[in-house]
Amino acid sequence: MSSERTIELIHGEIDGTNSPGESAELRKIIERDDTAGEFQQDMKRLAAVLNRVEDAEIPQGLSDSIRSAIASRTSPATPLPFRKNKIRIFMGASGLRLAAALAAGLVVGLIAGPRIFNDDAGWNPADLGGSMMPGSAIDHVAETVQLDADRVSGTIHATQSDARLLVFLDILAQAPVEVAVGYDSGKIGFTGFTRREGKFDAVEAGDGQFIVSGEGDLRCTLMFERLAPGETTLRLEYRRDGALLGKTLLSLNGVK
Amino acid sequence: MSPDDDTLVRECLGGNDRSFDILLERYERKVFNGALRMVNSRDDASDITQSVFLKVYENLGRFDGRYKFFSWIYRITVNESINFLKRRKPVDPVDGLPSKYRSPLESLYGVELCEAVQDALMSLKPDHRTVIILRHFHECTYREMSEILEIREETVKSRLFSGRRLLRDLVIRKGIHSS
Repeated sequence: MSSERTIELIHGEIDGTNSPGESAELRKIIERDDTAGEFQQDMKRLAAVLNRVEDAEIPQGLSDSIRSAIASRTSPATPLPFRKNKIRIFMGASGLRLAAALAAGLVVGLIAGPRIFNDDAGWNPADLGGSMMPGSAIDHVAETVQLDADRVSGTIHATQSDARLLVFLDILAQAPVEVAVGYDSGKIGFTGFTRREGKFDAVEAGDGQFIVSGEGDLRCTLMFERLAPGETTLRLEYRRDGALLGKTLLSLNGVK
Repeated sequence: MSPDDDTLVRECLGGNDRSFDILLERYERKVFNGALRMVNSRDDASDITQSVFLKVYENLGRFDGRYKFFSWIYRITVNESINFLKRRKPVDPVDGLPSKYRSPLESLYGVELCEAVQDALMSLKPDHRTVIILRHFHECTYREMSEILEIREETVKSRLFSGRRLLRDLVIRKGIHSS
């Protein structure tokens, strides 16, 4: 066996690309060449086995995670082709009411500010970097804070739908940094993490803390579920070489 | 009747968000499974799937309508998977499958068969693994693989034929081939 032609004909037969003439040519070769016949049987068996392998089920929540990640793309460096309409997906049917509530929340966020504090004092209500405003007819709420500090910039974006809470970190670090996301584990439970871009470490540190550390693009999504109703707060801290660069509070009011 | 990919892409670019949702529903499973076969980790395949759809979304305006949408999305999936493998710390090659696989291939079903084949696939070089995945799990033609991988059809065939022979040798050596 082993002529290039024979090998091509055998694979062509497996792939269904042989013409009737080529199939007949292969049959003749196999009649006089046992090795070619064995090779063809091997390839047929291999193809049959590969064809029996079933698709894996996609992980639960992956579709929602992708939709939310797409809806959260706000980086001016990567403009979305139809950003205006993104808001419509994100808002659902109660778009106008949500727009008003969201605008109010963003105004609060802009005035109170995405603040970066350079002292290492304890948390203070004045550290509030944004708040989610609940509304009786709202089924999705969102909050974004912009970061613009020494060597660390980007956005922290949170969305909430029913009992699920997604937090998107889109951070560009020009030096190795550590971003710690602290949360009240009695009110929200950590359910998952996906890396969207960048090479960095991510670890669930326990005691209501998730830590992302690295340099360059730190883009990931943290997923939580609400365990109890009412307001909860995310505490974000940015550190370099163990020194606190800044911190931000993100207050999240429960929808349900 | 469900609209074709080209129509959905045009609608997306025109601002119809539901059209992107349909593309997501249509290709999410395929992208996830393609990535899973390439990197052999559900978590990493999930990350890659998300990254693929974000890239598709952000670059939809650059999609070249002369090609098929699925070729484009598969190309992004392959590239993302290969980039991921380059970043991942090298793993020692598997030199022996668990004894549970040392039985005739026909006796393996469902999860066991998938794991056995997957382990064998992971022992192949990414170039060979990619063409086998595209041909046998996504049923791509030589021409489609050529488009997706941006290589000549002759190169596709050469990689596929070599990949199959290596995979055959591997499964025989691992004791998972049919008796």
